[in-house]
Amino acid sequence: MSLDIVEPDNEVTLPSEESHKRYLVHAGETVYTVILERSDSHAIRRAESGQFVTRHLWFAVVVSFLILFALPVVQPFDLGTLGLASTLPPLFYMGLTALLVGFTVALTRNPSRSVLGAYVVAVTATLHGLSPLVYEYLRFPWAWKHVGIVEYIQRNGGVDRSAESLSAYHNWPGFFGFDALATDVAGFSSPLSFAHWAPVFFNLMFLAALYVIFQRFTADHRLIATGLVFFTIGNWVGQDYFAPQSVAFLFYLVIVAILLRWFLTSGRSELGAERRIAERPVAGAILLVVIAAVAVTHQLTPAMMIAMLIGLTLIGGLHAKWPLIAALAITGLWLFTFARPFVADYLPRIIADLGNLGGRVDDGLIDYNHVDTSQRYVSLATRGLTAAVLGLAGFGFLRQFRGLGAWRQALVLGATPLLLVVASSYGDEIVFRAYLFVLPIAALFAASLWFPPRSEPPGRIVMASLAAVLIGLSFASLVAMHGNDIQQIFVEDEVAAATLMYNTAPPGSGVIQLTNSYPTKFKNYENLDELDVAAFSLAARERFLSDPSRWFDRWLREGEYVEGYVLITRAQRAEVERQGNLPAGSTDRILDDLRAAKSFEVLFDTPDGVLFRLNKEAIG
Amino acid sequence: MTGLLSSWISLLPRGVRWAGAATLLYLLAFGFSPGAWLQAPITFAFLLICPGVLLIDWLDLSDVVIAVAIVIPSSLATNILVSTILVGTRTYTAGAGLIASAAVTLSLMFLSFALQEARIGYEQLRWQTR
Repeated sequence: MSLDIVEPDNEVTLPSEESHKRYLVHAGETVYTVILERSDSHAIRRAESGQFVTRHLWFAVVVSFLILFALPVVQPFDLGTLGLASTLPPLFYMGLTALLVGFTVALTRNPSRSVLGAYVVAVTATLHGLSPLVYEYLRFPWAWKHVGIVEYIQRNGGVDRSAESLSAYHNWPGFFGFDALATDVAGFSSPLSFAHWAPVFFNLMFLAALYVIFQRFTADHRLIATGLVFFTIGNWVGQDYFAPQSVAFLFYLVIVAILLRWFLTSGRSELGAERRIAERPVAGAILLVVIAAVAVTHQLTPAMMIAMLIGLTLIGGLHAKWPLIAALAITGLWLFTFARPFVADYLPRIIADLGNLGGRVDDGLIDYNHVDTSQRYVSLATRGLTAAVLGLAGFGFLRQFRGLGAWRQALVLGATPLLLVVASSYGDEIVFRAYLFVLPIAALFAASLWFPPRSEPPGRIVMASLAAVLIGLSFASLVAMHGNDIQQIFVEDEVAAATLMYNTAPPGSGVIQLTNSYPTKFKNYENLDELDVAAFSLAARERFLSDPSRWFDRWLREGEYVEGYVLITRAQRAEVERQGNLPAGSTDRILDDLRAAKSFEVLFDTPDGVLFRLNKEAIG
Repeated sequence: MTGLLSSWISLLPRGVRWAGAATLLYLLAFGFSPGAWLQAPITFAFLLICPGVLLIDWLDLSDVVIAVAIVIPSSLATNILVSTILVGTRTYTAGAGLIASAAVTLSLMFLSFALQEARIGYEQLRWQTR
């Protein structure tokens, strides 16, 4: 039992009527308030805490189910100006808002890890589980290409390092080899059976690795959980789908996690020094395996990994230099042995492209003069979201960096990916890749604005501001992630038209298409060469639009293809119209012209997909 | 016999027991081909957990989130290396992949067991010579 005596002028509020009793003691003319805390108050607090945990867990579960039940009413192919975000029902937005408000309410108390974890998982599943829940077929045309490489391995028992098409995938086959194995032994015929769940799997795995990473910088699990939510909301760049870069990014995070947990020289640690040293050989063995897996899986991630290791080694942040030496040796060995055919072809281009920073950033951003309103809004959402997350992170870093343990290491993790924007030949995509690699540390610094180290617990107004920011950013994230879905998702007839083409095209065939926005290269992909007419110069586009069937006929004959095809789908039409590649109405004019031409026969004709084959007997 | 077996199993490190159980389950599922509804999840569990689960002993990963963060990616990485060797040498088939994957898991199990034994032996030796 504890006892407090309060001065006469002080008003006092009891923490709980059940656990505390108030007595008035008269001493002469003075009246003291005596507060007694019942000896069983600890048990009461535990009971209250248990109720708090149960209430929040139930709340997160019930709201998640409500969101799940809201989704079947979505009409995925009736997408509005903001893509899927325009079509989602109010119940979905209410559910997402409720989850984020529940999360911030939980933060105002001293929540358990399970409560915060439930909210983090629920928000992640809500944001990144939309595609598999709403769309029937795999999103992103390039994800279908990855399915095609797996199919190639299943068919041929290996890869072809000298392949002319998709050669990078053949030279870094780790991801595809594993998927071929998983597909075959799980009893599936194609990875299409599970590939659309990749964003959920990868994002949850990213969070687990980030949890280990963030633990090295802070012991405050409210800050860790908020950092994880910032990451999951800020991760709009679409690098978490069925792709080698997704698994390579996961490995990158695991490497960072292992380094920070077992090899870092400063910062806080959950492990005692003796245990860290004792476990280091096994942790080092895992590190080697994961580094090797990165080297055989993806071209860019080893560069990010090496840059990060150089940075950490240079500032003296690591106990040993061998992780850097091992990463350099394994990556170099792979580049100059297995991947040599690719490197020999691309090395001159890589060298020529070094330092072309301005052009690369410009290429990565769209030109507002040529795109339609929808594309402009989506682009504004992506830029706004990116600027907001990085801006908050910048403020967070300036205000809090010394309070977070190992801040120099954090700075290295945040800054080294930016070097790759300058020193890479990865084309315009590098800007988005760099953002993804900066995001983990940016998310932690952004969250630290609301949880300064060694400060008082944040008040309700501060938490309300956090809720408002998270809700605003999550809505922007939905637009950024799904704003372009109209050109990145596929309907049944598009899949059927593409399947017919890939099933029937003999080796040495060619296909003319507006863009590659269709289920592309997912089967027998090496049989077909592709020609994207939307990528032609303006003069060439104007020329072929004057007489499409004659030009298509000529190109297919000049290419000396065994069979020539023209495939035009709903998603291709959406892309050229939104990007302004072809004048309005061009797609219909092309289709009408091809249908009327004797040199083309129609193999498949539906509103969502049309497939023509060149009639070689006819005179063009 | 059963008692001997169970006492021998109880001597095994925790991770080896888990990996062994998962391998047995997998072989049962694969052998009887009960359909993708069971075969697929067990396959993924086998490929994504088995090699890495041994680490739970080696690193004492008692925190479940940390265990997930380390075990699944390290299993994935192990299987990726195995698959890469097969596709790189153009010897990939589902059977070869499965055998190679199971062989790596079994090797790790024995290595784990050997390390455990060596550690016990070393502790005993140190205690006797003290």
